[in-house]
Amino acid sequence: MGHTLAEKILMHNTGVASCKPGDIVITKPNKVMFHDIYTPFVYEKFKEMGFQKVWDKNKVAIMFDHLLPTCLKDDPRHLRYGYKFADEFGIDCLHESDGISHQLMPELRYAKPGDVVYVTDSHTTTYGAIGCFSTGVGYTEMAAILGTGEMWARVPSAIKIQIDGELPDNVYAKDIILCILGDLKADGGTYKSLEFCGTAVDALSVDSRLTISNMVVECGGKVGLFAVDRKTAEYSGVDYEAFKWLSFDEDANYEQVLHYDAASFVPYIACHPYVDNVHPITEVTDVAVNEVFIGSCTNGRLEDLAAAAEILKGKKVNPFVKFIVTPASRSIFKEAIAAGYIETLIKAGAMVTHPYCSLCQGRSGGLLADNEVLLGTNNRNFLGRMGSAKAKTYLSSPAVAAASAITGKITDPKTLQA
Amino acid sequence: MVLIEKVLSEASVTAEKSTALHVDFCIVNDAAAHSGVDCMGGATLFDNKRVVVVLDHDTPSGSVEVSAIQRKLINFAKQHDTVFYNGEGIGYQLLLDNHVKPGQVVVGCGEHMAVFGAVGAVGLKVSPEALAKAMQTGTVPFAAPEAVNIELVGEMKAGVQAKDVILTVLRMMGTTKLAGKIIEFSGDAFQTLTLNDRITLCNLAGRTGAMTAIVNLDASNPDDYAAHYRLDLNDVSVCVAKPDNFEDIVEVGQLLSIPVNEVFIGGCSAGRIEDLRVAADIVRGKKTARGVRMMIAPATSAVYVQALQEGLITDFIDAGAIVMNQGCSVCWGKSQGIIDTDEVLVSAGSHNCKGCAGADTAKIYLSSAATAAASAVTGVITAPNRI
Amino acid sequence: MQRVFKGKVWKFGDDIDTDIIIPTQHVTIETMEEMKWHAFEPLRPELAKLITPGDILVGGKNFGCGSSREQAPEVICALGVKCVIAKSFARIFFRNAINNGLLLIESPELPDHCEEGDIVTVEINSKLVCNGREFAIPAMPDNLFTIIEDGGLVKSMKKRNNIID
Repeated sequence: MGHTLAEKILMHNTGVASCKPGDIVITKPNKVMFHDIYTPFVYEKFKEMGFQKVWDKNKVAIMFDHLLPTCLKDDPRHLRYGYKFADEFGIDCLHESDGISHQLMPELRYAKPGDVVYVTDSHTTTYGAIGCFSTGVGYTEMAAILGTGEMWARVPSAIKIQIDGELPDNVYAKDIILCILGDLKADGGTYKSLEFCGTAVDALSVDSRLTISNMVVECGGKVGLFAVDRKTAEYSGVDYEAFKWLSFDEDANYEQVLHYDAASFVPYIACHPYVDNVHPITEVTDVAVNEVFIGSCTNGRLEDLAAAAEILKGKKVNPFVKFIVTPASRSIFKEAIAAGYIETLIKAGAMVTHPYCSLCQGRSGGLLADNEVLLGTNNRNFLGRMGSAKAKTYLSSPAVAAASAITGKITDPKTLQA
Repeated sequence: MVLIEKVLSEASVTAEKSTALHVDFCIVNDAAAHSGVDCMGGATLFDNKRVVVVLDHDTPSGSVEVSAIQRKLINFAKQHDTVFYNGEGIGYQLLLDNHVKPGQVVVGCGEHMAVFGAVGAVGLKVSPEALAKAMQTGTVPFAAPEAVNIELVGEMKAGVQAKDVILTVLRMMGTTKLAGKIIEFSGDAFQTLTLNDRITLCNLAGRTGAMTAIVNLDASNPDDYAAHYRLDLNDVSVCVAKPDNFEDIVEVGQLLSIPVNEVFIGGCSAGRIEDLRVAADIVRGKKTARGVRMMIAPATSAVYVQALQEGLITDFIDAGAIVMNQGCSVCWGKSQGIIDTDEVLVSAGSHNCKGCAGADTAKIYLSSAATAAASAVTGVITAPNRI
Repeated sequence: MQRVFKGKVWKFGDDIDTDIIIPTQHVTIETMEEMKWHAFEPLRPELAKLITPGDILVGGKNFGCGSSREQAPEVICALGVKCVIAKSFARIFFRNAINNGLLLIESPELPDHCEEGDIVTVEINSKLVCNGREFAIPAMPDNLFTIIEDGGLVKSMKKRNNIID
């Protein structure tokens, strides 16, 4: 009997000969990370639990990404707790302002294929793109993991999502995952592993796969996994041959298999106020937008900025639309500068900020007034998440966001190219 | 001759001794001036292309309240078809670069309206009510004040910037003696002081209490003025204004080691390309000290693009700085780089009053961009020539 | 821990996300005592003041979806809520609640058969009773029930580290 990707990684990590959905296994994480929203809590809980040291200081990272730049007066206190934890327990891996943690973890190879990684954030599912069993935990669990080096996991049942064929022009990874979320709904993947395969998936860049894995949590998914291929191996700096085991078994037990024809995808919009309220763009075209945001751990990578820059080259955004662009990491910011994307975006009218969680953290960076409408490339559009509870948020790909910034209403980039 | 008299006589509404001036530009922004829009009622504008609406202070917006103010301004700009800048940088700088000419009169509600004196224009700080009137009538009530002359001679020493000069002027003049007067800067020092230097000088000149300031290269006779003062730039050292006001300005060399939590380079007195060049030269190839948040915000989109092209932004990114979007940023202190109780900010901006960038007990030292950059590298307040 | 108790119901719909339970702008408030007053603010700003200790929250499916913020179950605990009953729970919220000693009970039926203000009787690992109807509930897995019985993961870890309160 074959195994799902999730089962394979859990077996590899725990050493059990076999496992099946529902089994409780004790994992030994290869890396853990906590970020600035939780530093005081992790510190206090860790001390309260009575731990004197972390189980392996080389396996711990601390990152400041939500609260730097600081925007509310309690924020610096959270940073101080980060330094305090690092100093007291000898953690060298402290990233003060290098970008969004979910970009840095795979980019800096802290999360690697075949690893088990826990982070205090729901979008930890992102690294599933490189074949890493990564999922979010709370700060109390993080404190326990830091002390013990262990965490229980229930082996998840799995949904296989097979996507074959070629994506049409102007359709991106974001559209794929939005379509799937619209089908599965906000709880359709709860506790489950979503595993992606097919010729269209093989053709996706690692950046695009990161976008897809990032959002599997929006249907409740525990992990969103891709098999390891040569692109992954190159991205993560590992030997491809050594990870051939992390591939799909024909006889693995999937509770559900979804098939998609890539050619059938169109640009999709997740409409206010639920991520699973997904519609083809043709159904929401012409909704007026007051603000456009390109960034976040979902869509702040180089290819996202490239897609936006291509559409905005030589153009100006609507003068009454606020347009915010935030690269996902320091290195992406630099690459985007070198490629001329940042200059293009600024000339088009963008406010370009340092890499961090930006507007998506919902505490500053472009909050909405009553009745305003945001089109964002981020991952959540919940009521009141980015400002007034009377504002509306729509989610899209960077290409749609860029096109909409020009027109001031939700716009399919295709219509600008005609 | 006294330039201000010429400007005022040309802008005067009546031929007799002026009681009102014609206004060339009104600035409406998301700081204090926005309430001028509320005072307008449904009135029409005297000239829609002379009203400049700018979203610059808290961009991108850091609160629902500010967003509502910005929404009101967007609707106003749309309705009246005014000149409109949406997150493209600081209003003063955009007007200086794109609109204001020598001899013109600009009104707004900001603390640093004197900045337009850098190009020989008159900037006047008015109340939101007066701004609303100016937008409707194109005039502002005005009683001609006394003019004083501050003559600057000599050249700045290495490591000294125009910010150190104006802080030295402030130390010399205090914050009340020139209340209600107009400062005219003149002297041979202007052979080497750049436009950027002049912007910095005029920007903070209002902190003397003066109504406004203007650079007058033709001021030749000290006797034309109510008072005359002289400063040799060779005598200017690297200075900081200590926290909470402009009463206590000291040379950096006199300070004991003061640990820094945050540094800001930007704002309307240190966010132009020259300031970014100076700062980049200091941090290039180095790293900011651990625990120091080095915040940088180019003044405008044009400055940002120029800095990108010159590689300065990349230098900052490599040094570990946080490069934020064009706008007032930390200097307005509503949502970028908020500082906590007892933290220390070294700011090359223009505000240091209690609580203006976070907690009331936080301490803001105002300095030049060079001093701010040097302090980011060492982690303590440091003069640039110590790097 | 009490095996049988009853409480007054506050009723919610499906997909109550953690941004609703505690909005991000409040998650850095220093104490839970202050933070708790912002619970459910975007949806029902008045609610935090109305909830009294011992009350029970009843939600639809996918209660607690969204971010991993553990402040969500913590503010619910801080308000004195005895337990949350829902058709289903989101994964991280579920773990966080257990780790904070907040009892969660999955019941596909009860939420459709109770109204706000009703009284629900809970018999742990056995059944719920409301308006004269009984709803069977499954027993919790041992490892989770141990954490709940210890009073949350912190106390569980203290026990492991031989720290006596």
